[in-house]
Amino acid sequence: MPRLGVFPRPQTETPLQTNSVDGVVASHLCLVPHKAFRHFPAEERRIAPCETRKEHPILHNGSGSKKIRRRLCSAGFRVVAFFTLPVLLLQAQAPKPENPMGNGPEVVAAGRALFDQTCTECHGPEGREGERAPALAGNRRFFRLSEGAIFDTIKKGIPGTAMPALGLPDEDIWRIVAYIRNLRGTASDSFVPGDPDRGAMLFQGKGRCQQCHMIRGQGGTIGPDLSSIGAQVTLKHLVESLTQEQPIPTGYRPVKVITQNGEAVEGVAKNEDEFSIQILDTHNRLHLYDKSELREVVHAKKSLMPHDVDKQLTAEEFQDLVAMLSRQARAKVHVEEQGESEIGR
Amino acid sequence: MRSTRFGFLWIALGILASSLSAQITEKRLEQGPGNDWLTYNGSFDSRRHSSLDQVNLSNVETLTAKWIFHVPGASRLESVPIVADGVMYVTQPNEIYAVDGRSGRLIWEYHRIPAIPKGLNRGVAIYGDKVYFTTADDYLIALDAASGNEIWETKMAEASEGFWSPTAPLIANGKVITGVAPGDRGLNGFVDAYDAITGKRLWRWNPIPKPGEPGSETWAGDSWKTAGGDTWLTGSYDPELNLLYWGIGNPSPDFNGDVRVGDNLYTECVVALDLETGKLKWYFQFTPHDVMDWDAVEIPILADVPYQGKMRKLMATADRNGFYYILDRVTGQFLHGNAFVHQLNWATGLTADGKPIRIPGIEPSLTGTKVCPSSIGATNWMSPAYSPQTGLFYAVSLEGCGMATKSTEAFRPGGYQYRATGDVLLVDDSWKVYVRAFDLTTGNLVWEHERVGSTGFGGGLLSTAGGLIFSGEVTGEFVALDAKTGKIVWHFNTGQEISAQPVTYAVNGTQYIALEAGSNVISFGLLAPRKESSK
Repeated sequence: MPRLGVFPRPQTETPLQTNSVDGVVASHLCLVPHKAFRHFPAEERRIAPCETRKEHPILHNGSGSKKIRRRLCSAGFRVVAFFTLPVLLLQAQAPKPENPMGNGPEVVAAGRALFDQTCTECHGPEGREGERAPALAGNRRFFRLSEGAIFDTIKKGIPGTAMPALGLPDEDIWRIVAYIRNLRGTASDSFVPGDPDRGAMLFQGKGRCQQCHMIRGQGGTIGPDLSSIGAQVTLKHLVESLTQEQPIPTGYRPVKVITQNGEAVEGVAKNEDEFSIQILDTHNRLHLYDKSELREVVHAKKSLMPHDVDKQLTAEEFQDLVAMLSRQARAKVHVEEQGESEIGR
Repeated sequence: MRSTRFGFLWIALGILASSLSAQITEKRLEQGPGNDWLTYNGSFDSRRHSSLDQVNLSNVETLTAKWIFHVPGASRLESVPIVADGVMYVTQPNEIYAVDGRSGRLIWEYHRIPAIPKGLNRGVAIYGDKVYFTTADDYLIALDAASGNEIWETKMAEASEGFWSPTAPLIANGKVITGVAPGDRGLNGFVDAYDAITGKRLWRWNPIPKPGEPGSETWAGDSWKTAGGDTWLTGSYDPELNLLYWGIGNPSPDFNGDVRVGDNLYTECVVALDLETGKLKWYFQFTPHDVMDWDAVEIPILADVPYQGKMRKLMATADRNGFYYILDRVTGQFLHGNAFVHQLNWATGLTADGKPIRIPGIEPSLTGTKVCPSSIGATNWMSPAYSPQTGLFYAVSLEGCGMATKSTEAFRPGGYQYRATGDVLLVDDSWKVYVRAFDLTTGNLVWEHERVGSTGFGGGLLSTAGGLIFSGEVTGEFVALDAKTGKIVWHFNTGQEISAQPVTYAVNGTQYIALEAGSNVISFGLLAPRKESSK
């Protein structure tokens, strides 16, 4: 059965929230969620078709359900569903963590220690995929999403596969569950050590992040606003965005155009098709062109985002920066859990 | 290695990008609609008259759709697109879309998260390098106009109590003026002014006076506590007088006046507020002790014209109660009033000082009484227009009645409806919607155009220097009328219900006329515009 709208919502006061799964929407540090979402190939999109939605218990609950369903099934339902549905779910459900041990940092740390002893041999370090068993975190869909489902798997194993019943005490299994959920959460769900205040100084100063990125109204606009980045990507992805070359997100491809009059304009392309292009330059000015007005359009192959931030900063500084970024959650986005609206593949 | 062809960009990034983007200055706001459409009503005087004349009576038959922008998830858009330097800003509740005005291509979009799905939104305001937007959870939000990045947010009132705002803000002299719609829920409205730079609230004016304040004697007992007085449509502004003119909505409960004996000031008024202080300069009440939900929020049009042989600073407005009014906007003095609909049975006329002469018993009753106009009014949110070329005031008007009932419903806190019943609209053969043109200074009907087949209002009006009135109908027909005669000169079936008012703008010498129809924004231009004729 599709698991529609039934998923655990941890309490907000716990620093370790494990409600979201990485990589669903945010494949880049530089992201505009809706655009990044649209940009994903169809097989990566996780929202169920309208037919599936018809069975949604929340959508049938209350007087507004028909209207909501109509909206979901309109041409733009993906965008609407991405933004509206989670909010409806948040409002409709009283979140309750299943894990009796909680999701605090000490539980996750204990879970990690147990995981490292027990699970990494097959599933790989940090659940990134091992020699003998699949990844438990990262860009894939998961069959087992709820904490209860993960618990049962560890306790009972999966018959007919190499996954054994582990025979650990229940408390230890719950600790491992907390750690696995933590691996799948967004950066703001994770406990990230470091000094966020110093990270903020580095964002403005040595790291030069603020030249391109804005946080809460302060900074540049040539890169994505990072006011909610911690709530949008996993910690793993956050770090990789600072340290590895990433694909250019939609709306941020560097572009240079030469007009028929010989004027050159450089910036990022907010949008482009065969007939027009919309460019934001480094002075926060928009330039809107009909292609017939342009002599030349040159696209950069690479993002403006540097991917050696860890080398420009000391290890401690880098950790402080990541600690600060991971805490940016102006708008707490509920990224739809992988497979929450459909069966895993 | 990065391409050296992008050297400039990298050098530029070395300098902290400063805000050099195009600025919307007070002067540009004062100029009124030409290439840009910068405010909800187009200009401070709310005439909705554009100086653009590339599209005119001689060529309007070649007007054709240039692009369509679909607003995801929208069903019945009711906002006014704002256009600045070729960028169009379109809204629906909690969402803004910045679109290329020539191509309709999306530049950025903003989604408030989490978003309360409630009501509708009437559009952004623009000033400096920011756009301003009110939300369903009653926040005022400022965004960077070029990127859509959120700069600040200010909470206006408590959404959990039932407050929300659909109002397109008005920006005057660096102050963002907003209204609120606790929508017939017994919550008292307000008009707020916020600093456009910082978002700090500068003043709040309360339409419902507290005990001891002037006007409080017009509320019986504790009825002032749950009194209404919404401020949900955008007002007008006179820079010379530095006065803000804002329409105030109905008293609560809407249909049972027994619990709020008195005139119920300042509901059903237009108020003149000092922009600097928010202090009340004058007021004029259209419907004292309203019991028909006839919000007096309709847009006041400001015009400086000869009146009875003397230049006067006038305000003209067609009120939901069925009367057309001319006031002196310096003093608030009533100058003239006349009914602008035939179906008006609640008053025989107006007194010399503009008060309605009521017919006893024509009001909601326990068993139902026929009242004309109905509660949706002789007009409503659809903006009127005024053309200085013709001297005519154009308004959408509805001929229709309702069977009105009242009850003893009590107020319940938490944002619940507090209407004490309403009316059943008597939609029969006499129920008709018109675009009417009146002489501004006499109120005399010059022409009328029936929106045939319309059972609802449709959208408001746009006047252009091309001698045209544009009018969107609930049937989906978008129609151009000869401003002098009302003759149909062009039409286009948009295929969706129209509830919003058109705008016009120009980019690189080409005039566009844009309109929200249902879930789409459609922009029209001439098949082959002659650029030299544009202004």
